[in-house]
Amino acid sequence: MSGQNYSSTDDAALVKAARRGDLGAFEELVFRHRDKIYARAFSMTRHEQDAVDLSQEAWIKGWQRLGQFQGDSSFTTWMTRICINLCLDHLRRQKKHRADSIEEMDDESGGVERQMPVVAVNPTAGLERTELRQKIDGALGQLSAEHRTVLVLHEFEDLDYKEIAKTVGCSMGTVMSRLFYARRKMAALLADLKNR
Amino acid sequence: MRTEKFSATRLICAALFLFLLAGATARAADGALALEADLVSGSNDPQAGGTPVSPQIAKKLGRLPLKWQHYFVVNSQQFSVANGESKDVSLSDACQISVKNLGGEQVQLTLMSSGQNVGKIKQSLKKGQTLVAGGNAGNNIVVLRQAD
Amino acid sequence: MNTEQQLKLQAFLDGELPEGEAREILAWTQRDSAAAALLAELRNTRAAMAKAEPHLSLPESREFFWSKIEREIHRLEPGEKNAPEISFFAALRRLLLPAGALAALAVAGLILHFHGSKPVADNLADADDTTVETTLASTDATTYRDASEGTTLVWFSPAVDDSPVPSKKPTAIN
Repeated sequence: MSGQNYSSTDDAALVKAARRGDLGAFEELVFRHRDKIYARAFSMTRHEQDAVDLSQEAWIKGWQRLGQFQGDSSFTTWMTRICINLCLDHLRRQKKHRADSIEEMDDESGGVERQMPVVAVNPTAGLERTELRQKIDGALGQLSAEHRTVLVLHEFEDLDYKEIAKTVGCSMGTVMSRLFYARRKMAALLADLKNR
Repeated sequence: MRTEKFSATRLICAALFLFLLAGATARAADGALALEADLVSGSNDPQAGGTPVSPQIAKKLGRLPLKWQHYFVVNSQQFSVANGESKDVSLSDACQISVKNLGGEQVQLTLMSSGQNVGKIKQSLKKGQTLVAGGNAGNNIVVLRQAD
Repeated sequence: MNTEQQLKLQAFLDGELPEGEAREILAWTQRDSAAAALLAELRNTRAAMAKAEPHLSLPESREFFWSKIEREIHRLEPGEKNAPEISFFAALRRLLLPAGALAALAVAGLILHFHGSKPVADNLADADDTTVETTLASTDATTYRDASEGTTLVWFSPAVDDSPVPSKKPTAIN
């Protein structure tokens, strides 16, 4: 590390320096964006230690692949994609030890979400942003990994159906079904949380 | 990354631990199983009534793809089943179970509804593991585990 | 409203429909109150998520988190391409220690096999496998396992057919 103070250097310059082997510049990038990468890992895995490990792994892979970063997207977007792929691999490994979930069966057969009554009143109206964040976080934790992944990728990463299907490795139809179920379940959970 | 952190020294410690555990498990496997079966009712109403399940069970049930948010104990039975034997347990007028100890901490749970067999489940039930069965009983589910 | 219509509504909300189809869906929601209500619910949920992505902080200090990354980066460099040379004895130790551990594991397994109780029933399921038999002809069983909590859920439900989706709330036992 050079000992240089990078706190006022922008991300593009830090990435450029890091690509030349400046670990101090990379450390500054880690410092700036570690919460965001961790948050993405946690939103997908819902397990604190796994999220720490996976975000750490993402940073290490990011360092190794700096040469591949073209600047087409922001550095954080690029790092988030690395993190998401690691999380998906992790979730796939976990899934190998699990039988099919009932919700997966429902994905194919048409699902119980069709029968959920519509939540007529906006359950989040009037909530402070902090309170809303807490409720969303709590509700996300009650979704299955498959449904949460699609919801996170669509709502937080702004991926479209095709991009999600490619990232997750499933059909667009499955993406749409899972997203629909996840949204309906979120609505029900948020309404229930509001009524408590 | 996590596998790379796993040193040879840790492998040996893990192996020695398993070695000792094998002895303890061998002794336990010969014996009876002390089990607890709970008939649990699921609801989205936190005031639905009844004794809420323990936080430990609530956490396990909350992670399952069930549509309820809250769980209440309808009936709880603790019983012992000798190796190779079966025990019939009535959890309600309409819900009975039969648990057979297959040895090696393996059980066979037969779910019955008003005396009619619904299905049979065979699996491992080590300490800390939980078997939850339901679907033919409205919002009631059966939770089976080794007693604490 | 069938599944296809519901998913079309969602696709309309997400801007995934071609223009012509989007106009048709919009017209449908203007004359069908159920469609309009569902669209409103989906829209509310999407808006809530857009406003309120949870803000989380890494639960480790900057220095500790970075130290692990830095150590791993240094370990991997010069790299995966050029692994550092190791001495013969270090190589032997690397081979023998895991081999010794595996041998201990094998012994533990043999002890379990010879000292464990003989199963009473045939076809005992593997420690991690669940075997389910449904007795009622019109019943299916679905298994779900939460590995981290050691929980297995077996759900018996009416057998799936082409009629409207069966409810998850079948006939009550009691």
